[in-house]
Amino acid sequence: MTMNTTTLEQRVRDFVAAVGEHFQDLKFSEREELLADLEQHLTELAADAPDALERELGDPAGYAAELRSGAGLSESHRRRGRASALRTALDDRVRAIVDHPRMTPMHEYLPTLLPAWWIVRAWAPVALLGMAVGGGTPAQHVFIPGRSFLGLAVLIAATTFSVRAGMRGMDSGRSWRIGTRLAALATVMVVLLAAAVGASSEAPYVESFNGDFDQTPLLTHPDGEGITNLFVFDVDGSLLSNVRIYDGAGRPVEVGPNVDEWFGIRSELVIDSDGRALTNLYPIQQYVLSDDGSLRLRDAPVVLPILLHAPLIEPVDSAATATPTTTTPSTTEPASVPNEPQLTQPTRIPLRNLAD
Amino acid sequence: MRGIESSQLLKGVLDLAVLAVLHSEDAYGYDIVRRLRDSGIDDVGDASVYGTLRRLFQAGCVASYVKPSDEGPNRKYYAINSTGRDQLSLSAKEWRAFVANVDGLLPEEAAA
Repeated sequence: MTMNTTTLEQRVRDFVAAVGEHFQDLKFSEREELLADLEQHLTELAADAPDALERELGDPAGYAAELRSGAGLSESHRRRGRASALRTALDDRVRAIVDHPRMTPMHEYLPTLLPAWWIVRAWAPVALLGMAVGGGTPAQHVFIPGRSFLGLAVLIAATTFSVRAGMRGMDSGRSWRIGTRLAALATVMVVLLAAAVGASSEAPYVESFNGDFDQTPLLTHPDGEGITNLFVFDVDGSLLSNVRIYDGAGRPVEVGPNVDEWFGIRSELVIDSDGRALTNLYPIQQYVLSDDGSLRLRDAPVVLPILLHAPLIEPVDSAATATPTTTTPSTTEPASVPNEPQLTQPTRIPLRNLAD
Repeated sequence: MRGIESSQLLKGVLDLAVLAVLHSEDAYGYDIVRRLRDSGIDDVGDASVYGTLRRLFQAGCVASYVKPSDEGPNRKYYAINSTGRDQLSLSAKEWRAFVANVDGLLPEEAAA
């Protein structure tokens, strides 16, 4: 190391740097102060005894050990070897970045973010672990990892431990090295967690809708089933035909045009004298498209017998209905008796305005 | 055959020795090393003295100041303060008592 071209100052600086590598366990500020003071001391020594410099100093490792002993510092627990040297080199490079003058403002506000980091670095790995263990969407594991009380308990314990370790680490210097590695690992986990949650939140929570939205029936039951037709029975249980249905405000009640597309049927609407289709004339004549492409009449529904035999009012003169076209009260047969609604010709039915 | 390694002895009394050196006169780091060696304690390393100085400073037994110099580097001088003086007299008493006790154990004349 004694090159003729190297000045005394440079030799001192190199020596101090070499000694400094044995004090990585100190807090950053402590190490800084120690090395600065040591350089001052060795500069004085070099000025007084330039020829004795090497003899006085010996090798950096030995000097560092003796200095530790004299200063009353505990022994550094770092292992020797290439791993140690690599770690040191890495630490120095990181420190070079951290100590850059431009970073000074960061030094001031970063410590305030530390507590948040302590929480995040415990929560992310636990959440990821819960995700791996339990099923469901990743977002569910964010607050209750593993979707179980055990997961929640682990999360609380890990967070508590992390915060306390962080608070203790603020005083000790060792957190710099160990923390750097764990921080890198935990950062990766946080990123993974965020990606998983983000990806899952884009997935639809509801089953995707397999149809064109415009095609849904206008008239639906509360449970969502579409209404394709309306069959009106009188008190005697006779099916009424050509009834016009209006709601309480006088608006016609329509099943809408989409039932054809939706249910694969063909509706034949009655047209009035003005050429307008009577959309609230029931029951609507409907045909079903069979597989071979032919049309057949759509069956009238099976109606429960109790509905047919519970007269609520005095039965009116049965002259209102032509033939008692009651459907067979058969609940076992899925197919009903084909109750042939009269094929209505396009008649001229005067439009009567029943609105108030 | 060797006697007790002086470094072993020294570890225990370096505080005392350094304080004693500073008691007579303020000194900078390497100056203290030389004065210790001049008094016959030549097995003392610079690192040990420097480390002891730092420890004494942190314990509040010595103060420091920098003396600017036209030739050579500015030197950082150490000076004993009242706490250090108290510590010195206490440690000196303990040392003398210790020495007397060990002397009392020793046989009349160690074999030449």
